Amino acid sequence: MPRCKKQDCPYDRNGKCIENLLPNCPNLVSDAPVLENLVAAEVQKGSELDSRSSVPQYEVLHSGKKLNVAEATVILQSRPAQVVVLGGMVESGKTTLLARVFEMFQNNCVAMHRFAGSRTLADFEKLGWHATMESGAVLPTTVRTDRSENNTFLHMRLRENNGLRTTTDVLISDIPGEIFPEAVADESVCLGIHALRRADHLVLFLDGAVLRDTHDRHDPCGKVIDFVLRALQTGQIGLHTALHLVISKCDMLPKEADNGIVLFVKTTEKSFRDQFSERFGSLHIWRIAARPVHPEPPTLELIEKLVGTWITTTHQKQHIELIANQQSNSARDFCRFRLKEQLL
Amino acid sequence: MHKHLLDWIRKIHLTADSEFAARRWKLAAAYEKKTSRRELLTLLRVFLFDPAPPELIQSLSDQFQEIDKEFPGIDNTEEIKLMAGIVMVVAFSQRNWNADAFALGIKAASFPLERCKTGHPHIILESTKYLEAEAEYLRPSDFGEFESTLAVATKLVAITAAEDDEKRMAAAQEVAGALHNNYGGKIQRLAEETGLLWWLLGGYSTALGLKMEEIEQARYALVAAVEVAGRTQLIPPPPSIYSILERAIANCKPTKSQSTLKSLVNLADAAWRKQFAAEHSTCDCAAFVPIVTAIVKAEENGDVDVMTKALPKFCPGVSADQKLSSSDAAAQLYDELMFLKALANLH
Repeated sequence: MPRCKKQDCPYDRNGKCIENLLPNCPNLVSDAPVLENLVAAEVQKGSELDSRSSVPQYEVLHSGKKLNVAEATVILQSRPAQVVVLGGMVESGKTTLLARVFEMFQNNCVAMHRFAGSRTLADFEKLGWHATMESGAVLPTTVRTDRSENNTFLHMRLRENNGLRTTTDVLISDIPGEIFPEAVADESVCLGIHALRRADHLVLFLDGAVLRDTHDRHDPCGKVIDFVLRALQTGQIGLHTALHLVISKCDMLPKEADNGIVLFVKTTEKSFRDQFSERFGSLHIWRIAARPVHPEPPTLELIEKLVGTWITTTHQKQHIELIANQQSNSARDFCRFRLKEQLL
Repeated sequence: MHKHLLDWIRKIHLTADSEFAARRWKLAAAYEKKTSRRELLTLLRVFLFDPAPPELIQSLSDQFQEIDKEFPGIDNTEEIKLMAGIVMVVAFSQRNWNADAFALGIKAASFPLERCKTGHPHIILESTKYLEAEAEYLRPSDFGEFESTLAVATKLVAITAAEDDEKRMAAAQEVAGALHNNYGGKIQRLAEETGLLWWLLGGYSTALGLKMEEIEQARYALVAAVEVAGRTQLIPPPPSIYSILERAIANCKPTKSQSTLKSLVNLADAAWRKQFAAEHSTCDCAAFVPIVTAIVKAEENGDVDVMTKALPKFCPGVSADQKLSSSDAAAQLYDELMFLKALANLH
């Protein structure tokens, strides 16, 4: 895994180069062979000792902090994993949803899956801390994702709740709210969101509370659409991606179906569907309240469905469907024999 | 290097750069050079089937590490799968025997369609494109340039003028090469067209010694595939081959009931089945050729019911109760035979 020779460079933590010379920074060195030799030696030593005792001789300890790109790569190269990218404006409810999902896994199995471990436990715990009584907060809140946390990943390993020991790794990257509009405006920022290209799911958030405001709601709606267009333009997302639009804090929306705000939300959802349904592997629209302010329960069932989709759906992996020569360019009549008829 | 290689690599190495991609391409090219039948089947197995057997992953991992010391040695299953795909793309770019075997192997193993799932569909697309382009390259519309008769005659004269045996042999080889270039490929191409078209027009099964209109579709499907495969001179086959098969089977008596793989094997002529099993060995590649394996196992055990139980062990994901039409079965068996032919070419 490459690491930076410079002590003050944050590359090892968040994948960013202090001198902005990526990907060809001369200070990057690879210590992989050294590490691998060390690991191999440890494994050999361990197996020798294991033959004498069943007690494990060493344990790998993780910091519990979010994974950087290099650490996420280690997981991606070792086993199939689902990558989920969350995006949206500041305080649109991304972190709140993640905190709720973690809570749900702590309490029970979610979407027929049980929590089976995480390399980022400490940061998962941190997400929900300000929503607990122990934190001393007056209202349940979540801490905003800092822009330095761009290109970092939360990790969960989930096990199917059916007696089989099939596990799925899920890597979740949360695009900080400050970066989101910058990515819309600047292609290089969008290209710098490394997880996007590999994302099985891109989940974009529209804040239900903001949608109530007839003056301010147009900007976030436009930004979400522009972000999708930008990422499509760079080729990072497309038919290999499942796109989700989440109207968060839906408890803030009026209940009357003919209310102007509700109609606006419906129109927004429809135009989103019309514009993008053909350009993605699948498109899903959700209205959720992960931590409602109004005295009503959170939309746990919907959140469970959403998480279920993250775990089980991918358009990155496809069945092999070999298409016969659809538009025959064959030169000889013999090679073209009845090809068009076959298509009909 | 393939223009989309960096995109494929970034599915795993999120921040890979072109230098990294070039290193992987170089590694794949070095490995492709030493790929024989055994390695080729290992690569296909790892790329197509989930979960990949750990011993194959380990073996490939060791071999890749031998070539590139920096290649990760542990926890690298997904990386190995991608590398297997890149080795295939290298072969496609070189248009060699390995390329034919890789592309035809992918096609043959994808039965039924939901059996193989890959995280690298673009590599599958490359394989399809390769088959189409190569089939077309082998069958151009014109006959190209002929070496002039004068040039060939000059080479002939050189044989008589040669001073010793060694020089005479070299001159004779030159003449043979010129004649082969002038006529060899062209005759093979024409022989293929003529053979297949007369077979179709004649409407007569040489294997069964019957007119096609006298045979039931389900009874003839597998036989037809073998008859067409025998008349295919150049691989990859032309895209129209499936239409030819379909047309031939359409001439037969329709089968009323829905066919399954088991019923098709059962209905095939016993003598034909025996001969087929004797001619086809699938010891190292059974998983890629399910219908060939089904016929061979049925014949080995002398019982189609035993084959029904054995088949999923040799071809995981394939059931003898798989429903399929006569023409689909014929097309699948044809693909499998082409793959076996491509494997045989590796020797």
